[in-house]
Amino acid sequence: MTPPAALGPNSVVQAVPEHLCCSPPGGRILFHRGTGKLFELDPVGSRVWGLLQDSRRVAEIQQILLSEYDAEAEECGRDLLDLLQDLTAERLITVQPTTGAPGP
Amino acid sequence: MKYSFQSALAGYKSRPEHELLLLLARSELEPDLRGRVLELCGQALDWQHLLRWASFDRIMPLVAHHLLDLKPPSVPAGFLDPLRTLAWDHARSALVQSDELLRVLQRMEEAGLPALPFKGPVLSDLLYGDVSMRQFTDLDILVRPSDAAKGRSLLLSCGYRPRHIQEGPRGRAALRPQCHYQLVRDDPRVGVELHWRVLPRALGDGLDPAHLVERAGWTSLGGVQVRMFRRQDLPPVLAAHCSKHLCNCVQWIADLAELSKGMEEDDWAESLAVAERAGVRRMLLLCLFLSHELLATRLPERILESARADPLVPSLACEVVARRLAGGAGSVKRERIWFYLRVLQSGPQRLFFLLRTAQLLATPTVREWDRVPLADVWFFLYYPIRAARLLIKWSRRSWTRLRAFCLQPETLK
Repeated sequence: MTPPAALGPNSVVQAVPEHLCCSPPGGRILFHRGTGKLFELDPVGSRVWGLLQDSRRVAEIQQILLSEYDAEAEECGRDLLDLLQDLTAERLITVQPTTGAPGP
Repeated sequence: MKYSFQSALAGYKSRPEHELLLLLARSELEPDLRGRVLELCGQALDWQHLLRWASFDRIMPLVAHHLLDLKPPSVPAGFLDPLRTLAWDHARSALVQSDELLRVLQRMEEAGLPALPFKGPVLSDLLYGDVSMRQFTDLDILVRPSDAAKGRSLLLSCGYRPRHIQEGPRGRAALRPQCHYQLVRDDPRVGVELHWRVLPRALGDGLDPAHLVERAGWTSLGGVQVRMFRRQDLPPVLAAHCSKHLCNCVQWIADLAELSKGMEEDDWAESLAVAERAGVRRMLLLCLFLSHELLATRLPERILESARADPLVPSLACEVVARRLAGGAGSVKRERIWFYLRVLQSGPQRLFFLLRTAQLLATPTVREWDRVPLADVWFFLYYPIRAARLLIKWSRRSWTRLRAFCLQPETLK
């Protein structure tokens, strides 16, 4: 298996199609059909997952979160990268290598 | 039933828990309904009663969704926390079952067995936009009658095993009243009911699975294309299933209410025509009438007029509500038979139902072969054994009643 590309602000990320998901109260649960594993998200994680339905740069997702939630940019970026790394490890998202285009 | 439907409904709704459940049994709460929900939550409610009925009515995910979204201050945390846990447990189970359903359907397609997921996660996704919004415990799949045995063999090869005996003379006897095979796996979260009819044979063969499969369309679940009933076929199918269970659960009525949102006048006309041809028109009218009266579902006036004008629909609806008010599930056999006799729409259907019921009554059951173990070759002896057992049982019951009746005046003295 090809190792996932390193995650950075300019990485382009997107949810993989082969998953099932549902939204119980206050969160979301993802099920990867290939691994058979469940992955649970809190409300902010659910929002990120919603954004991942389209191909986006990490920096773009961070900008949207900062506009919607009261959070420090640094903390938000760190938490976002942590979540995206977890999702990558669970093979729930694909990461395209950094294109070199600067973030907004 | 001596009183009208409206008075039965008013009696039922006089308990705020019941009215609240009916309000919550929908995918979206409009602002005026939200207001009423908050108002009802402010009353002194028996939350355990509400939870019991939500579970019985199979609408726990909808109740959890709305109450945890609204978070009315008057709702005790001791109710909301277990509700959240139940909803999340159900959601996990729904995902595992959805995956299993997709796997089974794919295997069936590969084997050339077209199969329609019936209820379960696909219907949940279609009607509520989420596989976990509909409560279900197993996966129902409908196949053509000619494919049922092959489908069962395929499932056995996938690691399933029969839940009850399905082979030999005992298996044939046990399956006679059924219209599905029940199959389970070691994983207790996963079970399949493989249907070869929508209704048991006693209630009619009109909804032909072969036609339903042939006319089916496609829908997407988790990015996978799966067969789904044609929209116009769904109301008669759902109503038939609901009537088979004496319209006991609000979930099935709520399903019709959600389905009605995407139905146009022409779709309804076609659904009624399908129901008429299949002999389930009264079942459809009854369920739509209940949906309109209990959940305020908007339906074409023509349908409501037909339901009100039907000689039996209002009284059957009244009976359904009265049964709920009494807290009963309607499992008494004679209550079922009486309900079925009236919900069937023609004389020949009723005659066939009675003959079939008599035939099933004579068919030996597990009660006989558990009591008197016999080799398969002697299976025919179970028929007289059953007749003798029922005769003794009914004689004893009659004798007890007679004695109680005779002793009553003395007691009164």
